[in-house]
Amino acid sequence: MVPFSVPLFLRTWRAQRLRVLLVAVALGIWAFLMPVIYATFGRQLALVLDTGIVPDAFLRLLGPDPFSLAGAVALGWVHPIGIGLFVVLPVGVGVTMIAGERQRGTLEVLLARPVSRRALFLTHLASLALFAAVAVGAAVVGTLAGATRYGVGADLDPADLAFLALNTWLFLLALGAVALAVSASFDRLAVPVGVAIGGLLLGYLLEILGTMWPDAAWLQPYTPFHYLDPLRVLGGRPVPGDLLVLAALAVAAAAFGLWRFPRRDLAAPS
Amino acid sequence: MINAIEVDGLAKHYGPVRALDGVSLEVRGGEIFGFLGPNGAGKSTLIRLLLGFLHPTAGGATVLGLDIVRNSVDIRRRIGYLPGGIALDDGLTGRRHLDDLAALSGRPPVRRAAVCEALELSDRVLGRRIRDYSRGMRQKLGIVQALQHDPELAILDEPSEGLDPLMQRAFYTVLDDVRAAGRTVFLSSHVLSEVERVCDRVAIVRAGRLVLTGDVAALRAQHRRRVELRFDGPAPDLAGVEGVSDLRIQDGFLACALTGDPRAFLAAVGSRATDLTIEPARLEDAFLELYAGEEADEAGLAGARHAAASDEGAGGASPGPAAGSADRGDGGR
Repeated sequence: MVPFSVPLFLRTWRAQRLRVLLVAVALGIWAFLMPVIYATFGRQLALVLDTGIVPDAFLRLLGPDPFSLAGAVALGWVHPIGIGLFVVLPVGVGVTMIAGERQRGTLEVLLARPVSRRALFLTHLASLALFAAVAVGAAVVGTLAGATRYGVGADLDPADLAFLALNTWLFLLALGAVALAVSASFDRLAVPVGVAIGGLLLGYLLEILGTMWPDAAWLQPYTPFHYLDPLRVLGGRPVPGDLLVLAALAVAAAAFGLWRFPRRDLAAPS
Repeated sequence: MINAIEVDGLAKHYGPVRALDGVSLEVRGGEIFGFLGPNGAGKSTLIRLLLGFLHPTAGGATVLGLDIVRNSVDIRRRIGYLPGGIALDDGLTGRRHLDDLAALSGRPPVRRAAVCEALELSDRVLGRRIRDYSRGMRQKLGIVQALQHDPELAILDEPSEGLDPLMQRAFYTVLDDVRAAGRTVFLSSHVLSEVERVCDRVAIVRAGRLVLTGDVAALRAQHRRRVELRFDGPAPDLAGVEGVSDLRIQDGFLACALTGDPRAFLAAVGSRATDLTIEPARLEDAFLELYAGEEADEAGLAGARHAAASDEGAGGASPGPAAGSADRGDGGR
């Protein structure tokens, strides 16, 4: 039987519901704007780009066809604002779930109940998976609403969008699992938060660097951001291997957390 | 009835630091057991080992007949725990917090109403957010969460910390009720008067090692009582009387210290006494004697241990297995 605590899951959901709602609304609005920008300004912006005023390195960031509907949606999906909204729940909450409770001293009240550390870890991971699903769902709904509202909904392939949703969910799940495993490995919040923020920034920068500068492209496979390519997916060229890599990362992080957390000594909070 | 807790040579070392060093003790079912020691002596370490928060370096223990390493979750299903300086979710109301913890315990909060009433936690107070609670109210809530599901064993770490004297008295009444219901309480404290008031038996730990275990009454009896006597005629001859020391005689007044059985002393005094005061031995004296550190009277400690050992098996105090003379001032922690 998989160790899991329904009361703990409900408690976590109740504690985070306002945060989840706010992030979902923000992501929905952000995703809604992308088809709107495409439908309203796409043609003019494409003309601006055609003048050659934007350096090639930056054009590579925008993809081969940035002001198609797929290009606009993809750009919003991996824009720093979009990424920030996507990761705030699985990473932001995940990294505080265990180390934060440990630092506050509430973890020992929780672990005095008949909840094993593995059950606690897996229950929190399930919560993060749900948060990620809500975030992805909000973005998909926002995208569809914007595209439909501006009459370009037919330009989006539902299968591609579904693949992108799964791809993004696995991406967030992998990051959440890493954040939770890091959280389970430390008694103080500062270290996991530093590791999470540093890891996210480094991973994002490696991906951007490799895209802008071909000589650094070899670095890209070492960051999870490389395995979330909305432009390619919405362009009808999804890469199933990306899903496998992200799933493997999530499983590896979860396995590490499940191995490490029960073996740790939880000394009295100082 | 099986022992609620059995600890056998339990040790927890952090590199060269011996937080707990070969402790053995038994807590009987249905008793209130006091675990005494100053800060850093190893009280919380033992509790955290029993709860599975820490992994033992050596030795083992059972709680309610279950192994602390293999059956930790099953143990926690049957106990209640109040951590020292409990932290609570500030954003929740007291009631919501209690409900959440009861749900996680998997047992209905059958004792909540009684404990809340005794500790004067009204519905109105429970409806407020914990961030608005005073320290004493937080501690009361902590006590309620530990006892609300009527656990077979309650492990309470410094339970009266932050309670005012009236609430401390109310808390002792709660403990009496818990004992009357046949439940067991393992209570860690450095408040001697509290242990003396509520506990049936006590263990004293110092520098990670058990110094003494035994009945509170027996412990008191083994330690020195102050005696003052006024007499007529010649001074009674108390030199060499068993248990008498620090004898001082002046102008019809006699003062001394008395240890153990008083009958030899009373026989020697005979009918010459016009006034007699024997101050009851206090656990505090026993405690201070054991904690006097390097400056302590080694002979006195050895005597106490010898007396305790002689009472072993007769419900008296007994030395811990690690309570050899090498314990003194070893700075194990």
